[in-house]
Amino acid sequence: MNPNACPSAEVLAGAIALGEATDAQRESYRLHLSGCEACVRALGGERGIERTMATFRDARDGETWSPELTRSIRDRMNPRGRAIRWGAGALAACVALSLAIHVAAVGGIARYAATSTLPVDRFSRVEHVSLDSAQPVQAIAAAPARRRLVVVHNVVTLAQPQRERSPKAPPVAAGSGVTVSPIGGEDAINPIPAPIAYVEDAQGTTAFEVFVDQRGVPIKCTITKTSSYEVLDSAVCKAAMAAHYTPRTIGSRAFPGTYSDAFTFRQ
Amino acid sequence: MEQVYLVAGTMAGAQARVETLVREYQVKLARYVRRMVGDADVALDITQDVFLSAYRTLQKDPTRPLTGGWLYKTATNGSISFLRRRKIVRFLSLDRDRETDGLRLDERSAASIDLQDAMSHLPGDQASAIMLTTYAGYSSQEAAAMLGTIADAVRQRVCRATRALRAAMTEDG
Repeated sequence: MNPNACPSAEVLAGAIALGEATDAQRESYRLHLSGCEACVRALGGERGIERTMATFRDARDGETWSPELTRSIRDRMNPRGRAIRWGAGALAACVALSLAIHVAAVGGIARYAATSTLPVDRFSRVEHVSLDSAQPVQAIAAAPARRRLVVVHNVVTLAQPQRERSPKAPPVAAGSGVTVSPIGGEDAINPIPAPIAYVEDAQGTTAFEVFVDQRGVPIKCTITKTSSYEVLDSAVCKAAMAAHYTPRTIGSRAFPGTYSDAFTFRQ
Repeated sequence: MEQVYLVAGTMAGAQARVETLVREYQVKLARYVRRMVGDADVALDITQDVFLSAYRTLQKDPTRPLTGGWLYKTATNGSISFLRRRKIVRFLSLDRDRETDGLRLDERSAASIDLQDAMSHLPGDQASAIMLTTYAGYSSQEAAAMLGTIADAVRQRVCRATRALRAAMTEDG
């Protein structure tokens, strides 16, 4: 900036720049410039001033930036409303999250319960009873469960036709439960019904007979009394075939035999 | 109970008036501040502060007439305060980058960039004088009222600003 410019000329030049100068003021400015070399160099002529201002206005007119501030200013003017909206949003998010966790947890538990193969967790009470006394004689397992399916282990004696004993090979003692017994006792046979048993509300008594060879290995399982539910019958036979047995022995010689038993399922 | 209603009515009335001002002046004021400070984000902050200041003023005195001039005056003061603070920060950080980041790509004509660059070197009083008059369209008399001075002082500042802008753009060109 030229410090030697005259203040009065600067005011006139400013008026010209703003388009506020009258004809008299313009003439006065021209007269001043004609006698003041410093102002000529510092301020320039009217055309130069007007070109600069035209550039300024062109730059202004070329602007396209149009911010939208209404929403943000409204929020700042009304912080309580914003807080309420934030709070409502946070509350809704918490509720949604809680529901999601609840659904996931319940779904996960239900899926686990439906696919679990651990009967102990699902049977509220498993008793080993004797039909003779109809009293429970041994508690196999007890545990809380969402679904209740009671399995009663019955020792039954099935009425089998008498068979003639062979002198060389002892007859298979049907339903004796004495000559052939599971290793580990009666509790060694632990039927696990498939989950569909709960869906079908399966109940009933399944009696079975397992044929055991001289090595104590079960060969065949026969359902001698069906519960009317395949799922229960198959569970019993599967458990019976999974067990190991002490073979029937006469003297020091082992012979094949059978083992008979029954289970009652109650929901 | 009457006092509560009165306060509630006042707050609602002030908010409605400010929202009217926002709708009418938000773009013009934001562009004005952006030219003053050379930064779009800062311009948005300052512009919002201007409207919030108007809201607080109306809360205290609901009958007070607020005009566009009041908004420009407040925006000018906010911009000059920011420029003063930034000048200190810039002195410390030796930041000499050109002040063109606040412009959108479609606004970056050579003249616009040169103008913004030149504007960044103007003193606050000259920048506010030329912006209020040439940019915002106020007369020197109206600008003088906003700036608390006389019309001739505004004209003199405009003249000096014009000389500085012409010199800067000529050098760059």
